Amino acid sequence: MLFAAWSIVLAVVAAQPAPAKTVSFSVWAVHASHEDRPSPYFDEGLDAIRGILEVLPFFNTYREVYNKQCELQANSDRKTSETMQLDDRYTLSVTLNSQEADGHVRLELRVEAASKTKGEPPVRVLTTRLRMKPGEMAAVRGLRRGSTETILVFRCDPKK
Amino acid sequence: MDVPREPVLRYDSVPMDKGRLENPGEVRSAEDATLVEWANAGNAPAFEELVRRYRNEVFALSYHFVRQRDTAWDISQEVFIKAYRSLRWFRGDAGFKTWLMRIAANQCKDHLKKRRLKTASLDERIQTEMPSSIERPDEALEARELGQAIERAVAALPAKHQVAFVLREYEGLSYDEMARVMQCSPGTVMSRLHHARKKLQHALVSMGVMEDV
Amino acid sequence: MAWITWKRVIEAGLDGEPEYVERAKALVAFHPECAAHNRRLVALRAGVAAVAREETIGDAQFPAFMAGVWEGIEAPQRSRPGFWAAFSLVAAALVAATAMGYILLGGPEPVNATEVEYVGTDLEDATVDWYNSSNGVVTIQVNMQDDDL
Repeated sequence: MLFAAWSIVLAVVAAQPAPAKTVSFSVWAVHASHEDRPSPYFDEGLDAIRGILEVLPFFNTYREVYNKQCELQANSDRKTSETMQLDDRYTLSVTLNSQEADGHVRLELRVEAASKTKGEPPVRVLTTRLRMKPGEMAAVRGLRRGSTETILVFRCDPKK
Repeated sequence: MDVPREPVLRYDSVPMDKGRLENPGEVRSAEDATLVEWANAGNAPAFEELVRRYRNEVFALSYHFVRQRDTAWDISQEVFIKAYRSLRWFRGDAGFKTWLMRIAANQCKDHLKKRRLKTASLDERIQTEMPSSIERPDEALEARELGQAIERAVAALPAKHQVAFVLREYEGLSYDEMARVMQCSPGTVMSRLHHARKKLQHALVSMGVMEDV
Repeated sequence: MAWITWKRVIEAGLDGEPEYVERAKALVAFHPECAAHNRRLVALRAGVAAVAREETIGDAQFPAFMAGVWEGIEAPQRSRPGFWAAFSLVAAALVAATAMGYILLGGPEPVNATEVEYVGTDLEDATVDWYNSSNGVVTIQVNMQDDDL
């Protein structure tokens, strides 16, 4: 029983992950369209997320317009949020709200669109709060841009 | 990682410390949050009281989806089994009933998906499934015949629209309550209800059981 | 686009949503199309009410129902008395081995189970949904009209 108790203690201690101080996120913005071509086209830089794009209906052409990796920290004096200009219409703000001991992070994504009327403030198109683990991804669709669509793919990067 | 301990249920023996009850009436009068706490501590009568309180809400919701008592019974039991296993994660930010209805709605949706209900063509389903004895009247049908047609049309809706319609029309939940159950915004609730009603009206007009205004 | 908005106001008013009740009443009183939409909704609701049955698990049936719930809860948890001592030793050894495996191998690939806790939009007449796509990635879908922006 002593061995069992010691094993349990060892397991509990070993299972405690070292709390990550910085969380890395990757963002892609893709312009998706439908063009007259015999087979789907993907920009080279989209290999990492091709599997997500392939299953989307309606489009057969995917061009990468933005890709960035950012690092944020929760509950600290250092950077907790970042704003990115995805293309000529949409901006994305990412805020890391909290980080849990098991690696889950809670964050808020806000997508704003520039108003068509000059001088008008941008419009908040989407606010979403997610709970993710490193390695997980989420996609945002429906960001219209004339006849094309801006597709946003967001990943909580795996721990190194 | 702090893994919450799954309570060991004791039904016949003396309740554990946290759930020690002075008398059975204490269970019946306890609030939901208190019962959850006791149940988490291993108190079986506390969990049983939660099941007793909400079995009909869960059963009615399940029945509205599957329209068979036996299947609704099975689904309802699965809901409470899942609820028990998830009790440790119940955070209390939504009420227990709302949390339970969320589990029930998801369980019903999963059941619908397993049954592979075709949702692409509502019109086709209605045309193949409606009895030919319903003819196109010049005037509106009696509410009962309309109700039966509605039941069939609701069953053919996409799962998320069906959930919205059932929660509103059969369960009478407010938009806020529905949003908590369906884990979406009240705006999305409005949208799903709108689409559900639009599809139902279109189908019922096609069948001739509702006037096309 | 405006017509869809008014339909939803009428629907919300009929549903008793406090914010919309008065607006819906005004629309129905002054616009024939709104009144027609309201009539259709009322007919739909009357049809539902006509066949709505109070399906319940009566007190007499409750013991059987509860027995099934206990069975589902307890069945996987069953452990034979007298077996516990040896079982706990094996379990502890397995836990220790797994923990060492996590340290050495970095753990299994994460299962994509992103939780969407909230979605919303400031665009009038746009909606936001979310779903798990066929490859398991959470997809948030913004449904906006052409001239929403």
